[in-house]
Amino acid sequence: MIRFRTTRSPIPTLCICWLLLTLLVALITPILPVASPDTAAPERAWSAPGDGHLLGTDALGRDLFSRILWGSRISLACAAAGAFTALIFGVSWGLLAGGGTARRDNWMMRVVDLLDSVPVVFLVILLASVARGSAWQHAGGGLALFFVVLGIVYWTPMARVVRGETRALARREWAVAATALGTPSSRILWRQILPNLIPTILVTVTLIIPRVLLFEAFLSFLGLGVQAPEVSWGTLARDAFEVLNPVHTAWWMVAFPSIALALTLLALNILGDALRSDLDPKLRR
Amino acid sequence: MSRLLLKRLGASLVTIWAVFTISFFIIRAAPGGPFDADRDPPPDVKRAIEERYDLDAPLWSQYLAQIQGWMMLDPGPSLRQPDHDVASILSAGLPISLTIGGLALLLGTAVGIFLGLIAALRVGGWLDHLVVVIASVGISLPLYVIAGMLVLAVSFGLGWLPPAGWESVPSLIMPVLCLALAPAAQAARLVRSGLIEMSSEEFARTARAKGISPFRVLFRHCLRPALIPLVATLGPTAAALLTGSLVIEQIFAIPGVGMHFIQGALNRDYPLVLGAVLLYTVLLQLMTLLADLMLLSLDPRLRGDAA
Repeated sequence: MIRFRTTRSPIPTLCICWLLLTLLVALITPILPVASPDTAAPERAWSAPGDGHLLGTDALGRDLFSRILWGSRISLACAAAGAFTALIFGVSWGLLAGGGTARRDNWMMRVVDLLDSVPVVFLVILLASVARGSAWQHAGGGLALFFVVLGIVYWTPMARVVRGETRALARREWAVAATALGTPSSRILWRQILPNLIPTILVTVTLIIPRVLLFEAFLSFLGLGVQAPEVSWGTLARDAFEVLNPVHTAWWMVAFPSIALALTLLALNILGDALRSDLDPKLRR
Repeated sequence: MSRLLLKRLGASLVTIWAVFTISFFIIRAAPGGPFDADRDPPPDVKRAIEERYDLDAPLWSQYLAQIQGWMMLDPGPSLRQPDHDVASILSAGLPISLTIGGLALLLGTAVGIFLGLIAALRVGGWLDHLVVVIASVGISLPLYVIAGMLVLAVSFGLGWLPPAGWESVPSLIMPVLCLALAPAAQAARLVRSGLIEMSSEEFARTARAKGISPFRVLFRHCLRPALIPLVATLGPTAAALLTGSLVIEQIFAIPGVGMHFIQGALNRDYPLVLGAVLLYTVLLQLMTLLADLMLLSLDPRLRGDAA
C-alpha cells in the first residue's frame, strides 16, 4: 500500500487506483469484449444509455462506451508522449544550463524566458494547421508530430526547475570534491547530480501530464489535434458539440467523455499536489 | 522609470519580431501550399494564383514585403476570403473578443478576491474547504466540459438563456461566466494563500494585538501585499483567457478573433492565422507590461530599483 507522509486522507490512494484502472483498461481495450468503435448502425443512432449500449450511442449509432475506451488509448498516449518529450528536452536543457558556465547558463535561460513570454499555444496551432493535410500527415506522421508538438509547450517549466536545482547542487561539497578529484564535469552532471534530481523531476512530470492531457483535448476539440478515424476524449467532445441542439438533446455524448477526462485530470492534479507536499520538506508540517 | 519602460518596450518589440519570423518560416517550410487541398489546378492557373499572392518571389523578398505590410497595418488579403483583407477581418473580431475577455477578467478577479478573502477569514472552516474544492475543480476541468454542462442545463433544460450567438446582452452571460471561472479559481487560490501568509507576519499580529478586528486586519493590512502574486501572474492569466476564448467562441458561435483564427487554421488561411498570432502576441506583451506597471504601484519596495 502506498503511504503518504503528509496526509492520512484516502483520496490520493483512490486517485492512484483510478489512474491504474484507466491505464490498464486502455492497455487491454483491444481484447475486451466491447463493440467495435467504428461500426456504424444507423438504426441504433441516438440510443440513450442502457438498453444494450451501456453509455448510449452517437449520431451514427456507434457505441459510446467502446469509443470512450478506445479514445482513452490515444488521449493517454498523447499525455505520456508529450510528458516524455517535455521530460527529455527539459531535463537536458536544465542540466546543461545549470551545470555549465555562467555565460552558457545565461543564454540558455534567455531562450526559455523568450519562449515563456510568447504565446506558444498559438504557434503550436499554427504548426498544427501547417502540418495538417501536408505530406507529413499522409505519411502517417501526423500523430507522431502531434506528440512532439505537445511536448514543446511544456518543457520550459521542467527546464527551469532542473536548472535551479542543478545550480544549487553543483555548489555542494561533494560536487566540488568530485571536480577536485578530476571527475569530468559531464560525468558529475549525469551520474551524480541527475540522480539527486529524480524526486523533483518526478513531481514536475506528474504536474505536467494533466496539462498535456488537457492541451490534447483542447486541440482535438477545436479540430486541430487528433484526426477523424482516430478517437480521443477531445474528438468525442467535438462530435458531441457538433450535434448538440435542443431537438436531439444527446446529453450522454457530452457528459460521459467529459466525465472520463475530468476524473483523470482531477486524479492527476491531486496526486501531483500530494507528491509535491510529500517530497518538499518546506511544505511538510 | 522611463528608462525601464523603454527597455521593456524594446524587449517586447524583439519578442514580436521573433514570433513573426518563426511563424513566417514555419509556414513557408511546410511542404504543400494553401491551395493544394483544392482539386489540382492546371499549372498556368496555379502560376497565376501564386503570382497574385507574390508566392513566386524569392523567400527573403516575401519576408521583407510581409514585414513592411504588417508595419503599415496592411497585411494584404485573406487567402480564403479574397474580398476581405486580414486587417479588416481581425479588427471586426477584436472588439467582440476584448469585450468577453475583459468582462471575464474583471468578473473572475473580483469574485476570486472575494472568495479568497472569505476563505482566509476562517481557515479550516467549511467555507474555506468549499472554496478550496471549487477552486481546484475550476482549475482542472476543461473549459468545454463546463460550457457543455451549462448549455445543457441552462439553455436546453431550463430555456433561460440563448445557447449561442452574439446579438443581445443575455447571449453574453454564459460565455463570460464560463471564461471567468478559471481566473476566479486561480485568484481565489492565490489570494487565500497570500492572505494566510501575510496574517502570520508580525505587522498583522501587531495590528490584531492593538485590538483591530480580524476582518479589518485582513482587508486593510494584509490584502494589498497578498495581491502581489495575483498581479504578477496577470500575464499568464491573460494567456489562459486567450486560449479559453478560442473554445468559448467556438462553442457559443461568437464571431471574435478566436473564431477567425480557428477557421483560418482549419482551412490554412496563412495570412489570417499569422495575423491572429501576431495580434495575440501584442496583446500578451501589453498585458505583461501593464502587470509590471501595476506591480510598481502596488509594491513600493520595487520602486527603488526602477529609478
